[in-house]
Amino acid sequence: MAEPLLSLRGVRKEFGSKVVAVDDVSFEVRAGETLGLVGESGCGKTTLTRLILRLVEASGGEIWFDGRELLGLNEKELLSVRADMQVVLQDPYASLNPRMRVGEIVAEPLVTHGRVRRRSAAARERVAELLEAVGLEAGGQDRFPHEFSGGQRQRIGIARALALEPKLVICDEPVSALDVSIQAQIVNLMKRLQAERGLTYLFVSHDLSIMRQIATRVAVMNLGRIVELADTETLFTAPRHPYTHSLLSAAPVADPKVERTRRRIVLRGDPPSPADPPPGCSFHTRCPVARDECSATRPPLAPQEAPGHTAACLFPAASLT
Amino acid sequence: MSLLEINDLHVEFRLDAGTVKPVNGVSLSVEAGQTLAVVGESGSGKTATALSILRLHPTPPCHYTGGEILAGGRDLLKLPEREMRRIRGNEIAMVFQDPMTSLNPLKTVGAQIAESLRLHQGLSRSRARAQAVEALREVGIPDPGERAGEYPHQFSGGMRQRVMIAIALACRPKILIADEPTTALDVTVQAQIMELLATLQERFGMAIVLITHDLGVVARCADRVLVMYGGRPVELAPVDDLFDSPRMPYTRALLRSMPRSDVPGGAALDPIPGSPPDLFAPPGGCAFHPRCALAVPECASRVPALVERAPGHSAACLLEGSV
Repeated sequence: MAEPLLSLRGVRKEFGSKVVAVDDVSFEVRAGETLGLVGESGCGKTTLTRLILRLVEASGGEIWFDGRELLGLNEKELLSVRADMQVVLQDPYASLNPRMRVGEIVAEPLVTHGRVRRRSAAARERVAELLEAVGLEAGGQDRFPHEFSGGQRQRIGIARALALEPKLVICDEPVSALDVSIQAQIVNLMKRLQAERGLTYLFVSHDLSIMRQIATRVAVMNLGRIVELADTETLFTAPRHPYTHSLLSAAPVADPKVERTRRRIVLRGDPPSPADPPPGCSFHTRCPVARDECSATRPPLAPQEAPGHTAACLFPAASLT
Repeated sequence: MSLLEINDLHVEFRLDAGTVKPVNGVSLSVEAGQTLAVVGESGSGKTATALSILRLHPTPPCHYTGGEILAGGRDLLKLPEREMRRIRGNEIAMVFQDPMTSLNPLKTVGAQIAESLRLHQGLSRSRARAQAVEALREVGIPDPGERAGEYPHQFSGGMRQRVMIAIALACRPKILIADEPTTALDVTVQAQIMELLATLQERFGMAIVLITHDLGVVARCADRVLVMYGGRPVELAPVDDLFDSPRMPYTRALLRSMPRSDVPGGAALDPIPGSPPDLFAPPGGCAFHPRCALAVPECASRVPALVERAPGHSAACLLEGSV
């Protein structure tokens, strides 16, 4: 088993006195894998990526990356770590500065980290390589972001993330804003770059179909906590947590015959507010198989049959129907 | 009999930057109790078509340059604005994608439902208020009496979309146009809203025109499907035929490119190369030809007509029949 590149231990983030956005989260991302992080809006998945990048400060816990604990680092030490840890964001329109040429955008991390001088021949050469690696023409570096389509802009964002040859790329919904016919292009590109460069991805998405196609392992998050973690095929074919069952059953499949015959779990009620989480298991208010104990005891992540499979449920079930 | 029938609709936006034609020759029809899905990517013209039905595009820049929209024996494109107002929200209602920006934040949700009941049905203030509570109950909002007095920000995303549906259905429209009604919602909430729409459709027998980019939603909800690309209708078929035997190369490529949650990963996906067309500079001929693996030189010069190839199944492709 590969060494963990990133390791979270009991990470916690409170906003104000009421909202616990990330609650005692522990997991590892192994070198070379894609760890998928899936959950609904407000579950804390984006906050978690910001904690790892230290764009927001954690309230507690430890984050180990490549042998160093990140939360204790000062600004200068952090800068050196960040070269190894880059990010691709969701919105390819908002995440590229419209006043900068593509060449400057992609070279920016190299300039910031003192690898090349701004507008130098070395910078142009490196940018050309990067653009070609993501399937764009090297000549594109003199153009502005608005001259590119959404899918091409996301390629520019990926080229920028790869500029420093990072070990870890954190991808926050990198294909969600793209048209269906473009999503597959970007997923294939990311898989190819991973294989060629030995990248490790932490891949955040709410989209289960993208997740199944790209992730090595998947962590399911609900209301600030990891509720299930398993290798991708186990999670999709033999989930144990009722929340995972509900997510899988709710996601529509592009096949009318499958849709007509499969049994669906339609949850009652609303997702609880993170400002007012229920006691015990965070899912018990909507859980179709909840019992009395579920509102009293918070279940820890416990091992299941498959190796490496954990689920936080007092009554894990192979099926809900 | 069709409740709504669109024949050869053409829409133009005359903008400073140039004229774009988001809708080019769209024809469709939908019957009572049936759902027609209009599916396409951004710029395909699906939302422009939906908004045209109720004439919600402002003129200028929008001009309806051709075709007819028939509902209740009239051509909606020929009605004076005053009569159109009697149809909107009454005979034909609409649900939009984003429930937060579509509700008035300064009015209670009860007042917003009552507004259309007073306007269209001439109900008294107290009758309309009682009816509004009933409408909230129908869409599954708990404690409707109390919640009618609350404001949109006090509702969750899913509950707001239920409120939108309650407003849309309060006057018992014959036709509901739903533009990406579940796209802004989480997947578990999306399932609840789709089930709600299906239940209400069964109860009231309305025709639904469902605008979506999501082929999973199409598979779950639609009876028939119209696929749009670059402002043109390119395939129309019963839902099973469309998924089993798509005839237009774009539909085939789109279905192949979709990542699926019910199929193991591992293999590379099969994407469509290139990008959807730029409406300011659309390609000549078939709008899909620059991305089509099967294109022949003629595809760049001739626009293929949407022709019926099997009962109820039409496709717009010059090569249809030969591939």
